[in-house]
Amino acid sequence: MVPGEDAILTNLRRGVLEYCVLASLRDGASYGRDIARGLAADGVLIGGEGTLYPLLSRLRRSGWVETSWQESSAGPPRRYYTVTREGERALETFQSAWTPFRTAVDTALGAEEP
Amino acid sequence: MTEPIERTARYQDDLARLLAALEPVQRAEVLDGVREHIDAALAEVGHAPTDADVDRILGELGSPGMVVEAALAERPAAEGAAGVGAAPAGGSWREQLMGRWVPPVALLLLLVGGALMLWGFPLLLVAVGIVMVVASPLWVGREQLWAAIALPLCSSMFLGHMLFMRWRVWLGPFTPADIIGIFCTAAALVLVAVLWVRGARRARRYRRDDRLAAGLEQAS
Repeated sequence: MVPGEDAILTNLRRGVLEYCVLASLRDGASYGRDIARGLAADGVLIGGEGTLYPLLSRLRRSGWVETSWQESSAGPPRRYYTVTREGERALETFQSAWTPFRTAVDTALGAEEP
Repeated sequence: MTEPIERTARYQDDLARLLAALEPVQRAEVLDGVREHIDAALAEVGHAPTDADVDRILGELGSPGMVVEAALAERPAAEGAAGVGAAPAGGSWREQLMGRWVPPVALLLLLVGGALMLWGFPLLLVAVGIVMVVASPLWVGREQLWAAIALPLCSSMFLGHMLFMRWRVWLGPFTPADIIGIFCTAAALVLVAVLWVRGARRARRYRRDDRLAAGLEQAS
């Protein structure tokens, strides 16, 4: 049976999405809805914004992000996520592995250089 | 509470039930994250949320099933290896007390044990029944108090009444004590019926959610 596009995307997201979350926090702390909105914008990285929260929970338990509460101008206080030093190191390691991996996949698929 | 807000509450209730198999800290963290997400989204609306606003917010979140699927995939390896049907760490006996056999067994122990309490040994039945209703997630708050305290007390009055009536039949007309006995008998039976129905309903719901979570894990 040929897997559908959704099934392929689900598999590709595993092992990648967490680094996209870390990358989205590189420029500063952000709260859950804001992170989700940024990653869900193109509909490729996450299927539903709610699926981000189990991942954020794991990243916090792993010590790659930490949380703090900040007042909000609209609505209740928000939990802000910040990438830790360890999270930054994990992201750097991923980036160094990702570039050759992406190139290898593009080459294997016969993609043309941009 | 307005209808749109009720729908967000229902979404969170459904999610909470589906996440029952997760380790408690992870479950609480996911539920908190989703709740904060909904609160922030509702605050951004800037007016009383309409059905269309809630449709959009819940649509962007994805179905509770999608969130559960993601949560199951994020479980620690050891917990994942144990499978969905396995209880969270430290909670196995509690999970065991979520079965459909629990309401009839626990409530009959309390009813029968309470009725025969004056004979000594059945106190053990009452003690086991109390432990079951207090430890089981099938009953909450006041229901546990009614089951653990009121039911055996009413039931013991029931036996007192029955024994008393056997003598009273030969001794004379109804007295206030008879009336109290009849009232306690009725109260005990009503309590058993209400608690049985509620407990059985929750047991069915847990069982259905377990099957759904297992299906989601197999599909993922």
